[in-house]
Amino acid sequence: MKQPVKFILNDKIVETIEHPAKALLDVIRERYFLTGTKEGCREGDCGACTVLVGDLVDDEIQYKSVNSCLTPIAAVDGKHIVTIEGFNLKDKLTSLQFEFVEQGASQCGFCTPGFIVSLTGWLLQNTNFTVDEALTSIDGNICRCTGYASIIRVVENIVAEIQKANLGEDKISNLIELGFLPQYFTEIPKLLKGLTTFGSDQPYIGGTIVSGGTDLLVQRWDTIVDEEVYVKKSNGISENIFIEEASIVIKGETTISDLMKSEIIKEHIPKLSKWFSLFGSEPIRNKATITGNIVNASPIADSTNLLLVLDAELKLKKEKSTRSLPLSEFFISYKKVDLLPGEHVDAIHFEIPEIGTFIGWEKISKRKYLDIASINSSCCIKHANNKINMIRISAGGVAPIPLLLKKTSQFLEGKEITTSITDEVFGMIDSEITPISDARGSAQYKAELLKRLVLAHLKNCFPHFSVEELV
Amino acid sequence: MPQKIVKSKIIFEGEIVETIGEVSTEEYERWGANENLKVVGKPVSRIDGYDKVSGSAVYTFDKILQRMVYARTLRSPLPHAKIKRIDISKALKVNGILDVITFQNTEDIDWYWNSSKLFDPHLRYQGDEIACAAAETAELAEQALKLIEVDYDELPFAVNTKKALESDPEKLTGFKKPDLFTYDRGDFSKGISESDESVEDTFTTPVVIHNPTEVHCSTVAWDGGKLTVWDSTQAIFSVRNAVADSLKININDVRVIKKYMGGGFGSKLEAGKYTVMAALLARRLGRPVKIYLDRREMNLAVGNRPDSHQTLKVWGKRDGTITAMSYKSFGAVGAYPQGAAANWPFRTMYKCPNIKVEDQNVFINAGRARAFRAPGHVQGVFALDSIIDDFAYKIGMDPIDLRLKNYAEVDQVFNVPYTSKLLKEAYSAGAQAINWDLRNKIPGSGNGVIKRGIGMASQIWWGGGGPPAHAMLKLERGGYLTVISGTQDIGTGTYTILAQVAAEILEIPMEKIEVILGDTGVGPYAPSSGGSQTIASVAPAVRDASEKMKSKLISAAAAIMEIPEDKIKYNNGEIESIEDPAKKLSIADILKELREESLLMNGSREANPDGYTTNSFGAQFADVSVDTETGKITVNKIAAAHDIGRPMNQKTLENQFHGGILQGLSYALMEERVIDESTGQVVNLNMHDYKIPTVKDVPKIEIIIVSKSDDLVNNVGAKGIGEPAIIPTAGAIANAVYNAIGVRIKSLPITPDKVLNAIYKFN
Ligand SMILES: Cc1cc2nc3c(=O)[nH]c(=O)nc-3n(C[C@H](O)[C@H](O)[C@H](O)COP(=O)(O)OP(=O)(O)OC[C@H]3O[C@@H](n4cnc5c(N)ncnc54)[C@H](O)[C@@H]3O)c2cc1C
Ligand code: FES
Ligand code: FES
Repeated sequence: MKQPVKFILNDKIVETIEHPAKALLDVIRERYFLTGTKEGCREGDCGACTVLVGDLVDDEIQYKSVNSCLTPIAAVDGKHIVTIEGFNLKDKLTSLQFEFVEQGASQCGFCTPGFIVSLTGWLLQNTNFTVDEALTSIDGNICRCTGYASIIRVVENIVAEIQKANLGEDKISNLIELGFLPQYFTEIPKLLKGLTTFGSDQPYIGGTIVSGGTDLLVQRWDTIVDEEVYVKKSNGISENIFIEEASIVIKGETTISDLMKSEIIKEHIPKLSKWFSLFGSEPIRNKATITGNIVNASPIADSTNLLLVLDAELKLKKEKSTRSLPLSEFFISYKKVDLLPGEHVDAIHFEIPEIGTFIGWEKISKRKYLDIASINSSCCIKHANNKINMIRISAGGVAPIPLLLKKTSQFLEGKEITTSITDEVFGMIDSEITPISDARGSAQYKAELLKRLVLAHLKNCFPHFSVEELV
Repeated sequence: MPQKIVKSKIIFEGEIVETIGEVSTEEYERWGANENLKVVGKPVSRIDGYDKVSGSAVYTFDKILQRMVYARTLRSPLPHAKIKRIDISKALKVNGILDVITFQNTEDIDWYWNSSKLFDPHLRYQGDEIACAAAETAELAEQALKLIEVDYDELPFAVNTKKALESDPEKLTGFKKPDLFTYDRGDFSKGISESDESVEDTFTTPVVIHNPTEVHCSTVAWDGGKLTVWDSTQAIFSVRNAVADSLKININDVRVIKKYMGGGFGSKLEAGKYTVMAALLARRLGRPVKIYLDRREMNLAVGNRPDSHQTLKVWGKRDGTITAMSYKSFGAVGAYPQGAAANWPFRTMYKCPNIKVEDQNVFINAGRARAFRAPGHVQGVFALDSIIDDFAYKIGMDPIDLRLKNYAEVDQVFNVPYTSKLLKEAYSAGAQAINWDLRNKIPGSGNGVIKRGIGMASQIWWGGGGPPAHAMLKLERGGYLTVISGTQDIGTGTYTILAQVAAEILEIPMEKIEVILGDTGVGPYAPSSGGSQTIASVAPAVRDASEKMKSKLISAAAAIMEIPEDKIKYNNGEIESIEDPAKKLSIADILKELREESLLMNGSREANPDGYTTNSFGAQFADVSVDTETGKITVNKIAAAHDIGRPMNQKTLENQFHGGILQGLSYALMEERVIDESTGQVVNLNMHDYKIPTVKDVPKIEIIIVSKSDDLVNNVGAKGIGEPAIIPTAGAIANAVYNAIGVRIKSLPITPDKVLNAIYKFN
C-alpha cells in the first residue's frame, strides 16, 4: 500500500513513493543519501536520528524535533524536514557548530548531529532562553563519550549569546543574521504554502492506526511496512484541546507537548507541564499522543495514570457511531483494551477540576529523564477541614493494567487525615496490587515505593501531615 | 642506524605482553612542562571537527556502495542448545532474499581461539550465531531470518555465576573449568600474626554492556581476489588478520579501513564474526555486503564487563599498617574463553608485603566478556577501596591517612620503581577540591531525610604504551605534511594529537597537516586503540619521525644553499644559515628546489626503559546526597585528581575524563545486565531498559591533573588517560554513600531499591 508523499527536505521539495509507515530515517538515509542523520537504536532512545519537522500553524512556521526512526513518512507529507545537512552554511560553520568544535563537544561525533539538530530546533521554537530549557531540549540525546560537560558549555555560551541578541519578532531572520541558520529558511513558509500534497485528510475506515508511532515503530518497525495503516495527522493546539460544557476535551491526536503548552491545561492543571517534562524526551513528547499512550495500554503509561484520577471518559468512534466509556473500564487485562475492530479513540474528556481540588502526579524511574516509570501514581482529592470528601488514587507498574486504587480510596473517603491511619492505608494498598519483579525493580521495592508515593500525595495535599515520623 | 630490533615488555589491558619489534634508539631532549611548548598541551580544537559537526563524516554505518546488499544474523534464542535440524529453503524462496549461510554450507572456520567455529551447531548462549542472510534490503534480510526453520536439542544451562561455579562446567559449555589463578607474596601467616584488627567482606559487581552509539558493523567489497573491509573497529590489524586467516587469503589481499567510528570502549577491540560472515556472503554473491548488529544484538553478543564476586580480608595494626590481605574472587567470562579477573589493583595499589590471591573464571551460558574500559580495575578498585575504607573506620583513622600510611613506593609485583608516581599529590589536590573535612567523621551521623556523604577511591592503571608503533611522514610541495600511521582514532582525538606533535617539532601550522590513520593498506603498524596505549605509543613515533625529518630538511637546505650542515639551524619552520640569517629557505622552498614531489620519513616508538614499570595514578572523590525516603542517590560533585604524565591536549583530555567519570557513575548507580534465571533470557536488551546517563544526570565534575610529564616513559612524556578516568568513580561513590548513611551497600549498582533495603532491611 505504498503512497506518494511530498515534502521539503532541507532546501528542496522532494517526492517519493513509500509505505506510509516507513521510517523517515530510512528515507532520508537510503533514498536521499543524507547520512548525517544517524541510527543508534531505532527505538527513540538515543536521539542520533533527530530531525526537525516544520509546519505552518496559523500561517506561522513552527519547528519541533522528532526521532526520525519513529516517524512514519506519511506524517511528514506537506512539511519541512531539516536534517543536519540542512543547517550547513556555504563557507563556514554555523554558530552552534562552531561552538561544538571550539568546546571539543564532539568526541567520536556519532551523537553530534542529533545534538545540533535538537538545539537548533530549540532555538527555533522557543521564546524564553534559559540554560535549563536548552538542556531539556537535549534530554533525548545520548552521548556515551563526552560526559556532556563540553556540550553543557556549548549550551551556556549559546544561551548567553542569544539572550544578548534578543531575537524578537522576526526570529528566523535574526537567527540567520547570527549565523545559526542558512538563508533559505526565510523561503520555507512560502514554499510550504504552495505545496500541494497528495494525502489529504481522509476519514478513518480501518487498518492499524499510527498516531505518533512511538510505540508502534518500536514494536514492529520491520513488519508494519506490510500492514494496512492509517497515519493520523496532528492539527494546531487550539483545535485539539477545548472546553465543552464544563468539560475539557482533548482530541485523540493531541501530543504530550501540545498538552504541556495548552493554555487551558495551564489554567486548570498548572503543574502538568512540569510533571510531563519527565515523560520520555523532548522529541518523544513532540510525537507521543495521549491516545497512543492509552491504547498501548502499558501499565505504567504516564498520561493514563493522571487521566484515571480525573475520571476521564473516552469518546470512541466507529464510522458514524460513537460510544462513551469511562477510562477505568477501558483496560481489560494486560495490554487488552475494550476497542472494537475499526473503532478509534476520537477524544478524551473530563470535568474541569473544581477550584481547591488537589491533583498530584508522582513518578519514580531508574533514570530521572528519558525513562518510563518503575512505578507512578496520581491522586485527586476534594477536601475540606482536613477531611477527605472524595479521593481517587491511581497506580502504575503494580498490576497488569493501569490501576485505580479503589479500595484504598474508598477507605480514605470521609476520613480525617492523621498519621494513625497509615498502617491501614498500607494494608489496603497491599491488598489491591500485584507487582512483579523485573528490570525496573523488585516487587517488594515497588510496593514500598507506591506506599511512599501515596503518602507523598497526602502530605502534599495536607502539608501538616508529617511523613518523617513514619519510617 | 638509530633503529634496532629489541625485546620489550608492555602491559596491555592487564596482560603482560612480550614483544620483539623495531624501536628507535634516538634519545631526544625532554620537553619539560607544557609552558615551554607551542602546540602540544594546548587546547587545540580537533582537526576532524568540521566533518563531525556538519554531518559529512562518513562512519562505517554510513558506507553505501553500488549494488550493496544487506546482511543480518540469526542468533540463538536459547541459552544452551544443539541444532538438530536447520532448513533455509523457505527463506531462499522469497524474492529479494539472496543467500543464507550456516554451518551446513560453509567451511569450518575456527573462532574464539579454536574453542569454537564461526557457525558452531553447539549454541552456548542466547545470541550465538546460527545463520546469516543477505538480501536486497535490511527488512528483507530480517524477514529471511524469520523464515529459517531450526529445531533444537535444548541443553541444561546456568546464567547465574555462583550456580555455574557449583555445576559441572563441561555440561554447560563443553569446556573444562578454567585454571584457578593464584598469587602469593610474602609470609601470609606472619602478616596475620602481626595484626591487631581485621575486616572482611564480599562485594559483587554486575555485568555491564559497552553500548557505544554506533553499532558494530562492516561493509565489505571484493575486487577480484582483493577484499576491502570498512569496519567499525578499534583494531584494524586484528580484523585484517582474522579475516585473512578465516578466508585463507593473503594478508595483503585484505585491506581494512576505519575512518570515523562511533565509540567502542573495548567492545570493538576484536575482529567480529559478522565481518567474516559478510566477506563470505560478498564472495558468494559477487556484490558488496553491509552487515550490522542492532541494539539488541549489541546487548547480547559483542562483549561486556564481566561480573565479580570478590571476598577481601585486610589485617593490620592499630596504627594503620596493613600486614596481610587476602582476595578470593570469581567472575563469569560468558560462554567462551576470556578473562574476568579483577585482582590487579589488589596486588599493587597499597603496600602490603603479605598477600594471597585466588581468582576463578567461570563459564556461564551468556554473552562472552570482552575488555571494557579498564577491564578488571573498575571492579577491583570498588571492592578494594571499600574494604580499605572499612578498615580505616574500624581503627578510627582518616581514610586518606590510611592510604598514605600504606603508600606503595615501588611496583610490588615486579619489585621495580615506577617511572613516575604522583598519587600523594592527587590525594591532597582531590581532598581539597571536595572539602574532605566536611565528611561525616562517623558514617551516617548526618541529620534529616536527605543525608550527605563524602568518599574517595584510588586509581592505578598501565597506559605507558610501548613498541612496536610506527609512523610515516610525507612532506609535499608547498610544505604540506601528512602523518600516516596504522593506529586508529576511535574518537579520542588521536588525529589531532599526532598532528600537534608533528607541528611542535617541525613548526608547521596545524592547518597544513593531514593525518591518515585506520588503513592497513597504507599505515605502518601501530597498536590497537585500547589499553590507553595509543598516544603513549604512537606520539613518540611521530616525534621520532619529525625529528628525523627535520635533519633531512637541514641536509637538503645544506645542499641547496651550499653551506655545511653544522652552519645551518632550523628556526620557526624555516631553515637558515647561522652566520647569515638572511639566507634561509622555507620548507616549501626546499621542496620546490628538490626534484622530488615528496620527502618521506619513518619513525618508531623507543623501547620502554629497563628496570621500571609505568603506571598512571589518581584519586577520585565523591560528594553525594541520599534521600532516605525514596533511596534516591544524587551525586553532587566528583573531584578527580590524576597523574597521567603530560596532558597532550586540554580539550580531548577533558572529554576523556568527563566521559569516563560519567560511565563510572552509571556503573555505580544505574547499569546492569539482567538475565531471567529461569529462561536464560536477557531482560534489558535495548536502551529503553538498559539505561545510560543523559545530560540531566551529570554532576559537577572537577578535573585536576597533578603531573606535568613523565620523562622516563617516552619521548613525549605522556601516559594514557582513557581508562584511568573510569577506574575509581564507583569506589568513590560507594564510599560516599556509606559515609552518608552508615550502612555499606556491597553490590553494584547502588539502586534506590538497595538503599531502602539497607536502611530499613525490609527483606
Ligand atoms: C524513548 C521513549 C520514551 C518513552 N517514555 C515514556 C514515558 O516516559 N511515559 C510514558 O507513559 N510513555 C512513554 N513512552 C511510550 C509512548 O511514547 C507512549 O505510549 C505514547 O503516548 C504513544 O503514542 P503514539 O501516538 O506514539 O502511539 P502509536 O505508536 O502511534 O500508537 C500506539 C497504539 O495506539 C493505537 N492508537 C493510536 N492512536 C489511536 C486512536 N486514535 N484510536 C485508537 N487507537 C490508536 C495504535 O494503533 C497503537 O496500537 C516512551 C516511548 C519511547 C519510544
Ligand atoms: S535511532 Fe535512536 S532515537 Fe532514533
Ligand atoms: S561523542 Fe561519541 S557518543 Fe557523543
